[in-house]
Amino acid sequence: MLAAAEATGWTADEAVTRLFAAHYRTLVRLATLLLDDTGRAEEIVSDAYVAMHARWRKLDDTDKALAYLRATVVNRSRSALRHRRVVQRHAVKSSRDAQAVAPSAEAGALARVQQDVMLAALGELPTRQREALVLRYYADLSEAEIAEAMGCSRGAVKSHASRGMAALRNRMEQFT
Amino acid sequence: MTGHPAPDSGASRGDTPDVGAQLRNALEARASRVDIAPDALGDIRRRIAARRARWWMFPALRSRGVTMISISSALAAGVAAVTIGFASCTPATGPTPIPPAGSGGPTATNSSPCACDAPQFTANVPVYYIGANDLLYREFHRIPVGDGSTAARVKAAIVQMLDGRTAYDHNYVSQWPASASVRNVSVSGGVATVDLHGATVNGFDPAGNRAALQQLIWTATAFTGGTGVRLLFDGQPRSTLWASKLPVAGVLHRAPAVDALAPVWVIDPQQNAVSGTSVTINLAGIVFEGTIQLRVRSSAGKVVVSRTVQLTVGAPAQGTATVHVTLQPGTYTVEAYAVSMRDSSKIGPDTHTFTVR
Repeated sequence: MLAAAEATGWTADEAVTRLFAAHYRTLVRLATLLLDDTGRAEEIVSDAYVAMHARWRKLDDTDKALAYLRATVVNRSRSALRHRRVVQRHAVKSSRDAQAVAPSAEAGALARVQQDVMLAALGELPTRQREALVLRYYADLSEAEIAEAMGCSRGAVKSHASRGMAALRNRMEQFT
Repeated sequence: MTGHPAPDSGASRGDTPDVGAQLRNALEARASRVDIAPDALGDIRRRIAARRARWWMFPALRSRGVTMISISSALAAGVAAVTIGFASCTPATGPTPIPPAGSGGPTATNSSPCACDAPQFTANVPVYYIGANDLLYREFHRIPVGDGSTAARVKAAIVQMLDGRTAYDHNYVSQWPASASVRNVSVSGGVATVDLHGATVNGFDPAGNRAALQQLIWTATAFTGGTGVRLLFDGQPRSTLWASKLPVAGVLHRAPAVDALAPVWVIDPQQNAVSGTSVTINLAGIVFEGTIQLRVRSSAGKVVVSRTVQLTVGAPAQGTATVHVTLQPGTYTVEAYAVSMRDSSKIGPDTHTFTVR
């Protein structure tokens, strides 16, 4: 991670290169957790960097840039999920259900049953609840940072996280 | 991103410690399996360059004294023109050589010519090829993927895979018959059904034939949620394939990675890639204790980087590692290999040549 900084003096090209090295992989992982689709996640994160390049003159600060990248990724992931759900409404339900819980062959033997159940339950949560939990439990963001990334109030973050966690708790109790 | 104390959000803090820990573990495990395509930075740079080029196509935007209103109008016109450009259809051309990820070429999503009303997408898809000892290597190919659906991506990847000449590394091949083509691909419930044409006759080579089948299975199941492949030949299932009588009935699954994959991969830079002076080398391997050797040689053969690299895990799992090096402009060869405990010979060397500019 880059250290917190004031104005960097970087050109937009330089900023993309440096912020790519520092955050690209993490942002792709974040988007993948929100979308469960690595290919789409990479496209969304690439989009975010291209957009950040265009806005760099206004940002010119690594902290602001990271917040911008994160918020862009969250917003675009939400849009992609919305689009996917529209498409899925026309798909055969049984296929959709089976695919939602199918472990990735890429994952190989690393997948564990409990983790798969947890991730499947997370995937079934409303988008906002899922975002709040991923940003808190994967990205380790503070409540204020989560609110900024999601574009909502801290109270809403609390509410989404609390409801999401309650749903996960119920699901895991059923599992055990 | 991990290892920090839980944020003091108060939302659910303390009320569900076990579920919180389980969730954190599950997210970290899932995130650790995310495979980043190589040359993502190059892709972003090309998209930025394309964006700049579009900007400079409209001189009115750059002239002095242009009011904000006229700028807005021109921008709107520019966006409209670009949008129309993307949406208008040009006749589909035949297959063209796909350049390596680092060498330019079409990259922007929706930027490829389309032959239909639906938007055309371009994506980085994993394609497996057969290397030395009939073991598999993976390359990421940025190719048109039709409507961007999972089935379209799988089909595009298999079309690439069937023609071994598409491999960036010329040491990689496909062992499918040259006449093989894809009729159709569908995906349902994590299983890809692949209908092939002209694929039922192949030379008798049991080991090579097994590798070819795994080549297709690994390529076709590389999508998120992929678990298996069902093969059809001209629309019909078969019980066995080729003279080596490989069983191909029902759903086929990947062989264990330790049996199917080459022991060492240089993932990035890919063969013939072009990078800046700051070079990221991504490696993967299924080797004892996860230790591999890395060498980077200049075009004159001088070793400019030599180090032992520790992968994330040792065999039988596939570990990964990322190494950052700074190189002067020029042509280089990166080589990674494991060392035999028995006689110190090289095991599974993988080499790629790339250019630094």
